[in-house]
Amino acid sequence: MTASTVAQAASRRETTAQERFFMASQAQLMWRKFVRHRLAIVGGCILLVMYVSAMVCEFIAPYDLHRRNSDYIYAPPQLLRFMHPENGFTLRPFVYGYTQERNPETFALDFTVDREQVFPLRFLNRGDEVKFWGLFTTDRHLLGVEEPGYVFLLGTDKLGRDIFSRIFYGARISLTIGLVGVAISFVLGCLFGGISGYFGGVSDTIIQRLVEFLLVIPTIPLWMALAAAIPREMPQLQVYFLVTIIISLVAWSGLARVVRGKIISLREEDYVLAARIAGETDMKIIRTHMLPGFMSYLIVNMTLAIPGMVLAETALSFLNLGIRPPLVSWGTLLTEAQQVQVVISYPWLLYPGLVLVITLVAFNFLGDGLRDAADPYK
Amino acid sequence: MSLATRWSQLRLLLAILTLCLVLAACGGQPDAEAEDADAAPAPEAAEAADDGMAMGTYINDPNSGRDFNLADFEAEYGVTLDEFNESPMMAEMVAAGSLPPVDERVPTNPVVLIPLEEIGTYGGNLHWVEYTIDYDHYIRHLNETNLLQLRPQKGVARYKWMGGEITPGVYEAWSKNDDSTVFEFTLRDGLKWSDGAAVTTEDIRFYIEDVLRNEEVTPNEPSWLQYRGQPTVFEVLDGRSVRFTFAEPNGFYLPQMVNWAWSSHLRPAHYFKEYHKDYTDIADLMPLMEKDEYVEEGDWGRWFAGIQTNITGGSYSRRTPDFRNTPVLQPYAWDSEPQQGEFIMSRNPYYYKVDPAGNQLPYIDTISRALVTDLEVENLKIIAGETDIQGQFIRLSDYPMFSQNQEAGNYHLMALPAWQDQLLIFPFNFDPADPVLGEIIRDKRFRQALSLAVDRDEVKKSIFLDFGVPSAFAPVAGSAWYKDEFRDAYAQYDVDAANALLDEMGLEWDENNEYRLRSDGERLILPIDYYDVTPPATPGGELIREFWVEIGVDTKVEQVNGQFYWQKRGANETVGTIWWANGLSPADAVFVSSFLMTPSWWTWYNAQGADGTEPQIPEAVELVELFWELQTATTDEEQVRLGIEIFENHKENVWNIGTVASAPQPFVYNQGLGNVSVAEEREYYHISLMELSEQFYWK
Amino acid sequence: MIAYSLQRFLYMILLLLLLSVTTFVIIQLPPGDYLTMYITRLEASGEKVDQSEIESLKRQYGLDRPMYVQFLRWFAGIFQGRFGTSLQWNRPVIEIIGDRMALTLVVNLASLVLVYVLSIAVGVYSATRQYSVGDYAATAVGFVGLATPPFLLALLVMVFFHTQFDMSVGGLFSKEYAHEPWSWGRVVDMIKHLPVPVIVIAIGSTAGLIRVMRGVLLDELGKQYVITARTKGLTRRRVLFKYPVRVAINPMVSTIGWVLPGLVSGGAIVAIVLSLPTVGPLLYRALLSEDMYLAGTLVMFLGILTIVGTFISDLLLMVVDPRIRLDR
Repeated sequence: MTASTVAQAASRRETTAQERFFMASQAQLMWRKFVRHRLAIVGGCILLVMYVSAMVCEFIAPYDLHRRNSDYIYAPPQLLRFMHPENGFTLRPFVYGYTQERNPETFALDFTVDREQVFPLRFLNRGDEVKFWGLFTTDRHLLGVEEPGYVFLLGTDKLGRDIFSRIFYGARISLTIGLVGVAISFVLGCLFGGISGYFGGVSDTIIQRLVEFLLVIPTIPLWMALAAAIPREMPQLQVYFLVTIIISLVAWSGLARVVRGKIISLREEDYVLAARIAGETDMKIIRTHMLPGFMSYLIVNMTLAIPGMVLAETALSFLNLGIRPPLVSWGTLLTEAQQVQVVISYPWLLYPGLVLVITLVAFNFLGDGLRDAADPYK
Repeated sequence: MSLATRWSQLRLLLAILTLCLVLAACGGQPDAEAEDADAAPAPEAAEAADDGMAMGTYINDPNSGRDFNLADFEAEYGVTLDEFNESPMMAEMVAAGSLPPVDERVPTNPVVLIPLEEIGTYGGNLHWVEYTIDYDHYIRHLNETNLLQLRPQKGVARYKWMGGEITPGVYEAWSKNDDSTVFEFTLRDGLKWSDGAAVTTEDIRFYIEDVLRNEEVTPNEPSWLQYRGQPTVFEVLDGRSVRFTFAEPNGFYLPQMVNWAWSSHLRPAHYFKEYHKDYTDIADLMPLMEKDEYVEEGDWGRWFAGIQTNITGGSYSRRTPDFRNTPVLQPYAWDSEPQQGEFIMSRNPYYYKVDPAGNQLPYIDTISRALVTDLEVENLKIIAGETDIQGQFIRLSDYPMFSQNQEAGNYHLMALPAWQDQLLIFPFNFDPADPVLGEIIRDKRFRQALSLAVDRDEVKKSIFLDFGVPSAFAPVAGSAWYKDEFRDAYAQYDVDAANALLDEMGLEWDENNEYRLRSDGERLILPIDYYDVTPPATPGGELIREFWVEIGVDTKVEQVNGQFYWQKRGANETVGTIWWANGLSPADAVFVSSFLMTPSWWTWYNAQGADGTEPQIPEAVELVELFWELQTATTDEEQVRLGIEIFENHKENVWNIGTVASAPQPFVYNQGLGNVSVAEEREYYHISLMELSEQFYWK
Repeated sequence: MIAYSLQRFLYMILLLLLLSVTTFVIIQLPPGDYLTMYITRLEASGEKVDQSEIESLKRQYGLDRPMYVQFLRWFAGIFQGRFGTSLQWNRPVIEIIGDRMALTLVVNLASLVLVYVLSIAVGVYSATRQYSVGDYAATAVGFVGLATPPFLLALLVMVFFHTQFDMSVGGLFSKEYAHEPWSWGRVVDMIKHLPVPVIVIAIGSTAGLIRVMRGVLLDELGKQYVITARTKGLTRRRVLFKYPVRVAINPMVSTIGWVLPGLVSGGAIVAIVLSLPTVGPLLYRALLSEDMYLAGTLVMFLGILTIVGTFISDLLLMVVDPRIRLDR
């Protein structure tokens, strides 16, 4: 192969690449730009894993949410091991058991690794019976060890419950609260921001004052007032939704301002004017001419709003206003860990915090990638 | 940008992240030094032991910790005390002429307090940390002077008076007639307020007649002036003696009074008359009232109530600032508030207690409190050694952390018995809004089953660090009413027996075999609302739910806030709750606590049957009648007999679900603090120990 | 512009009236009142409260009066400079808030300065050196800061400083200086306590602002006028600070509306965890115990600051950005 053919081939490749670029639809272009944003891809993958595992947490978690073990209170995490003392390397990982003793001086339960007790990990292990999605019961778990062995990969809490399992159950609530909350603020924000921006006049004034008013009330009193308004006899599911609504009530007003600003600037564009002159209805103008103009912007905005919502849920839990046991969210797990003793002696109770940070950073990476991809000037 | 550079950037990014963390870890170094100098506050004036302060040790004295009237002390020990010593802080003021000499300040008849361990030395400051200002929990005990004292001893203290020895306090003598209707009290001879004015019966008369029986100030008389609906007759006998006559026998009046601070009988009349409308022209008072934002003459009652009621109970932070230096009888009087919510108090020059060597107490010159926002900061302050004494509202579950940091924090740690006999019990509303549920709860088999379903060993291990004794709702060992059978009644973990009882009641399982159904076919739901009245409430609630779901009772445990709980309870919307058992003595009204949580019965009980609903269960009526009988019982034998009958009633009926008895409370104190440590081997309650603060000293 | 300002001013007054009523309603929303709360605390510590004591406390605090009377008395009092007496502290509300104001301003001002200095500096750095090591580091640290719950971060930092450096943590003074009058030593002691709260309070908002700063600046840097200026021979630095940075600061100016109340109640959650003697925890505690006059006055006060802040930032924007002036 000569140098010229190489150059030719290269230029041909370039041409087809250019062609593809020019032929590509808006979505394809965005996707292409997005894929080049490595961190965004990493973030997206992390989130995908998190969401999938939250969906099937009953199956992934080795133990039931409420499974407790009074002999293993505040047990430290067990290391997954591959080097068996007798059999040497094994492909089947295992954990060592513990012997525990009450320290006569400190009254703490001291755990020592007991190399005599070996609990090999089993795939599709039979364990606690759980109700999957409230539909059917199963006792199969992705991983686990045979009773009376135990596996606490991230340690246990004050009642001897497996932190690893609880993180997955908590993910189900924490991760969806972000989505549901953003959805609610999205609807409210678009509705009010849209009306305000497109129609202007009196409706604009009223909505703008309302938004201002909501922003003027300090957050903590507003949360407390709204949380106090939740009836106590409510089923857990409704409490969950109300907490979400509380969080989004604070957030929607910001979005409404953004939408209003965008619409106001788009309203003045010539093509909107043209559409109006052509006699299209307001609804149609908004839907087919204006919405696509800032949809991508909105999506980015929403992605970046999700971490804020998840954090807001933890703050609500910290203030004792949010999700309550027996429901478990990352917020309630972290609130339980919000003790000096935990930080000093039982740091594994902070793992939910680590998972939370990783997840939220992933959201931010994803949002960043989306923003870059959605920006037509880059 | 190529893929390769992107990847290298990602790797770099991770490296930088790690580097940042490392840097952050090192960055704080310069801040570290200056704190090293922090040590225990230097005990000042250690040389105060010049004259008369003979070093004596009382650790083996059988009277250690006891209060004597002077004459009784002299008779018991065969010595005469005619010379008194004072703190250098006071001596300076005497030398400067701003204070009379100590012999004139100590009453003619002082109280001699035998120290827990030894004669101490003067000086220093005692510092502690709190996280709530709503109520000054510590000062209430650390700076307390009672009308009558109770000698601290094992199993008997302020909250467990039965069989305890009452010793003199503000009253040097007391007597009652055989019927327990007439009580006479004599004020301590030569007792003075902290401003030096004499304490007389006028102080008692002023308080009862001009304050408590003045409707403008106090809309309702307290129940002891209104015993069983009839007014108590109050008479002044002479300058030092008063008499109370109750319309009916009040067998528990004396033991209850041990619980009372001096302020429940007296006010410094010479001081408050200046602000009382009957003694001072209202026009002269208006400027003062306006300063506190009361602008109408008709508001005088509100204003006066404010300046005089918050003198009670030691609630200092909440006092109207201008009236914080009101004369008092406690060991420490108000000094200053250097920062909001924090205060310093300094010794009362006229305090009436001395030690066996004639040294006027307290030993420590000043006490101070700092305010933090929550328990976790308090915990940090403890392990950092930034506090001298902490005993209340810290958690047993934090004991391991306290223990591991003793060396670094320069403190000692004890596990003293908690004054609550049980820190975790489950009472019910027997007359809830839902009639079907009420029917079930009133069936004693249901309560027996719930009690049997509790694995008390797990409760003990998970919540109480293996401390305590699994127990039903029953008196603790050592009490006059204690019996093994009370403790063990329905307290064995037996799920099968519990299920059998529920089956017998006809509570069928639902089709999934998950929960039981009520007679109307609904699922059996047992709601439990609680608030943070007791440290183990939250883990206890989580556990109890697991236990009771096991036998098919769908237990819904929910934490609410305190006000909300009481409002709900008032509206009869509560069913179960989580509580503590306050010194299980039949004398305690909480002891009929099954009724405290049943509003309709509670009203009936309080109105002596004139109002509310009479309990639908005959055994409950029996229990109340036994309790009424007990209140008027006048002899010890009678009280013990009736008490045991009350517990027989409890045994079968399981009015409350008890869990674990005799759990301890951590108590932290600075290593330099003397006359403290022996409390552990003597098993004093932490509150009793705090009440001995006047004999703490810096070694 | 004057007409516009006047209009805004009138809205402000209306908003304030609305706010005062809402405030009172908010505080009354949770059931019960301060006294029931107080009594429950007493019960929790084993004291039994006599009905008589409850009644006289009720009278003393005026809680026996109907709610609207309580509100009207409070509202009327405001115009005479009386904000009521705190039920919790038993002192005039204005005194309590006044006591905490100085330290609150010190802490929040320090964090604010840190936020602005850091976010502008790091933002400019990141934008001008896009995809450099520093940019990635700033991004990463920023994201982690954005993603960590502030209460958790506060506790971790506090315990870390305690265990690693044996520092006195919690509050703004160590034991020796807590009860001393102001002196040089006390000021130094306070300054030593400042870094932990200031950093923790600042971290969340800094991360956010860095992202904004970087984003806007990147947009501006790509614009024609920058290229024009460069081709005309202006130095990089001169161009940067003359135009794009000024434009990029605009979004920050518009946040001043939240800066003013932030100065007072900023980082409330962090302050609760770190036990700072500032207004944030005071408000939280007042709300919890339904100390209505204290909470009411504080919420009003913060509301006024927000309104005034928004007003000022609108005016400022007009001054900084001529385009907005022309729009009106």
